[in-house]
Amino acid sequence: MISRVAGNCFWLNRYMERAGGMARLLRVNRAFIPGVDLPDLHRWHPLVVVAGEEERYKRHFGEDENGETVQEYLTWDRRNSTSIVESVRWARENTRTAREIVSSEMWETVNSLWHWLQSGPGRRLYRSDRDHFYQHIRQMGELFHGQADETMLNGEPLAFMRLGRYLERAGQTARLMDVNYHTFPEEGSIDDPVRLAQWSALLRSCSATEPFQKRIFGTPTAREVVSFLLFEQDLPRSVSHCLRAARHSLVQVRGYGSNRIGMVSTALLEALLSHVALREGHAIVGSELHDELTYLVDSVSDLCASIEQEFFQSTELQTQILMEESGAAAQQ
Amino acid sequence: MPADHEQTVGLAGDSTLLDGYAPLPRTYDELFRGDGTPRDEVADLVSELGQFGRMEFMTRQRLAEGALFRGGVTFSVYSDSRGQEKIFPFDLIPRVIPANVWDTIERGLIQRVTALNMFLSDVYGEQRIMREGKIPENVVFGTAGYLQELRGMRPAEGVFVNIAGIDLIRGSDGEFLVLEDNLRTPSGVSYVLENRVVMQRVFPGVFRRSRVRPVESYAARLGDALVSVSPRDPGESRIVVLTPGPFNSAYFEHSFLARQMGCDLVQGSDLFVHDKRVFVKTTSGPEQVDVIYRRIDDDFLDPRVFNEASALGVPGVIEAYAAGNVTLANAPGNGVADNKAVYPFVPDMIRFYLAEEPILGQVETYICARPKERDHVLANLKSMVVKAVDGSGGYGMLFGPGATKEEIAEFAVKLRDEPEGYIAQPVVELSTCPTWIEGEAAPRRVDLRPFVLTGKSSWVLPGGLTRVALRAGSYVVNSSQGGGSKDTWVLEGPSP
Repeated sequence: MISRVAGNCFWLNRYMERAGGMARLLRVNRAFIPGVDLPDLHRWHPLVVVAGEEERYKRHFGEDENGETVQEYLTWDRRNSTSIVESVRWARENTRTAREIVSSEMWETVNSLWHWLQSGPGRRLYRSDRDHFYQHIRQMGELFHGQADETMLNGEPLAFMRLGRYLERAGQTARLMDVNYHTFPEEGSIDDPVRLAQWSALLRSCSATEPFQKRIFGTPTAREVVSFLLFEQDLPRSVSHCLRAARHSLVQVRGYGSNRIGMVSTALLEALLSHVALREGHAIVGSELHDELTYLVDSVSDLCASIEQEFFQSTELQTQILMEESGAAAQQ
Repeated sequence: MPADHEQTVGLAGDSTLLDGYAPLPRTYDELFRGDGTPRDEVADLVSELGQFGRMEFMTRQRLAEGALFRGGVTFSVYSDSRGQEKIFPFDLIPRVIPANVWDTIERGLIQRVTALNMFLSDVYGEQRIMREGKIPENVVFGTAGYLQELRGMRPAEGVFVNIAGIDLIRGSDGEFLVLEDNLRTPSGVSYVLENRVVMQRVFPGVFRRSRVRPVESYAARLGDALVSVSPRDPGESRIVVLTPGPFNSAYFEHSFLARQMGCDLVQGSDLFVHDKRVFVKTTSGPEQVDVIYRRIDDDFLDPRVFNEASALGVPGVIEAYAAGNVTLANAPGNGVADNKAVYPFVPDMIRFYLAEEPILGQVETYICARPKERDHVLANLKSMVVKAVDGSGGYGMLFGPGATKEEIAEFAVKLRDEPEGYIAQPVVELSTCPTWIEGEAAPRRVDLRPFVLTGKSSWVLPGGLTRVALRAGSYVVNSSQGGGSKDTWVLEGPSP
């Protein structure tokens, strides 16, 4: 498929995944265990960090960590490139650009979500029933990904969509954990109510509460939670699951051509997967966990850059291939 | 969408759609005679539409608009920084053309496009028509449309005009006249196809009973025409649609056509030229491209030959074209045949190349470069439409009857200073068609853009884009200036 359009497929899913992830996170954070009294700063600041928006936020709002300001910023602010409204905007823009590739069902979903946010109804619901508002966005995200699987031909465009979706998700889970790592006690189970609330919020942000309860009995330990979110292959948002799903898509993509495009990315992803495989079963906590998560976040972002370079922005490589082909033809 | 309860007559007391419709005086109406009775050939349809109550009709109009909006059948408005999109306003009352009338139009269009194609072949080749004095050299060379660089280049199969959009209007006597030839990158066909889909969903019954000629085969026909002019074997030819990008106002259409033809939609940066061949960058490496249906203007096509600053085009593509390795549709350089200075000479072209009389008439035109004609125009500005020869889209023109004294004086100065830059035409009372305006059917002026595809032979899409000036009294149908569109129904001939 056209390199640039492959990029549109990759990105439109990343943006949609990002919008859904942010909505889920905001919703969970609002619904924080009632009765747990946490100052706004501790409750809302981590979200700004997860979004990677600490610096810009500070520039605009200084020390104002009021929950309303943070929510407004992460939901509506057009200066914030990771805000929900911006993510949806770019998801739609990429979909519109690749309109001849993306199914009509997906287009109608992202298009109507965009119009809903842009015109009155979205804003009104935000004011009157915010929980419902975030839930709607999350559900539209789920609908969108479901439609991708249900309405797209199982071919290269879908493989790039999944690749984008899973790499974005792997990065999100790792960042979410990183913001919370200091709350994980090194030993023993989690019994402090505030901590417990933070943890269960973390699980819920990864849609992992029910899966966790199905696998782990009794009061959870930090190691169990960490291990579950990082390595549980059956959990759709665990880092390990996402990376494996990304590998599946990348193999599929490369299967459509049998040349050098994708070599570097494949090597990076394989290295990352072996790294993760080595650590499975050795749950880590404390500063070691922080280092590990930083490594994961950076590696995923390097991988995305490599995919961008090899598949989407490939002028030099493409010319090189032609030169080699004509060179080979001349020798024969 | 409601499909089955179509026969619902309006609520009690709800008057019906066409009650009291009054055509404008001295103006041809597409559906009604001057006395307010329906024309014979559309009487059945008028009585079908007449059964709808106004409320019912309004509901259907809303459904149609919602469907177009959700589907993103929109054009973007450049001036709006938020990239706001609008649907091209769509009116549910169709414009109807009986079979025998269409038959003449179809033959006339093919004749005209054939002659224009021969003209292009000639002016970029032997230039016989100028040598024989049928058209002055300065008219051909004096316009921005002639590209000297392309002299001697011949497109595949000698076809310059693969896709033409010929604008027709209808004067007060009901005769169809050619207003303008669009031989470069005519747009609008996606609205024809989308409007039809919506009409079939909103009025399935009326549709079935009216025996309307289908338009669905357009994309397949376009694909056939493009493949037939490929430099390589049709079976292994790769066709792409080249767009300026998602910010272009016609992007929806570019994407729509690529989707319907099942080929790739590309931007200039997706293509590159290597060894005089064009390649598209794909995720499995470069692939050669054989036919480019390009929706980028000549100027931006190749920064090495034309506008150096163009970031939209493909460096080297003209060289690949000259080498015969790629087909560009339409061919570059067509602007010389569809500009307003050449327009008055088209009937002579038809006589010159085909030795036939033109089947379709065209609007009487004064060439301001000729002193006598200019003086006549200057003396009658109030009843003239004056057009800049290189203007389009309704810009850069004077509409005499609607202009203020100051505007007329201003234009008179321009005409005296640069007469060769203008042509003028008497105002034609464009025909009207009943149009749904604020809860009732009112007469609004329309034009028609049929589309002609040419590969090894020519084919005309039955109907075309009917544009309608939604403002009362307006003659301007352009979408950029408050125009809308209607579905155009060409009726099947009487059953054998």
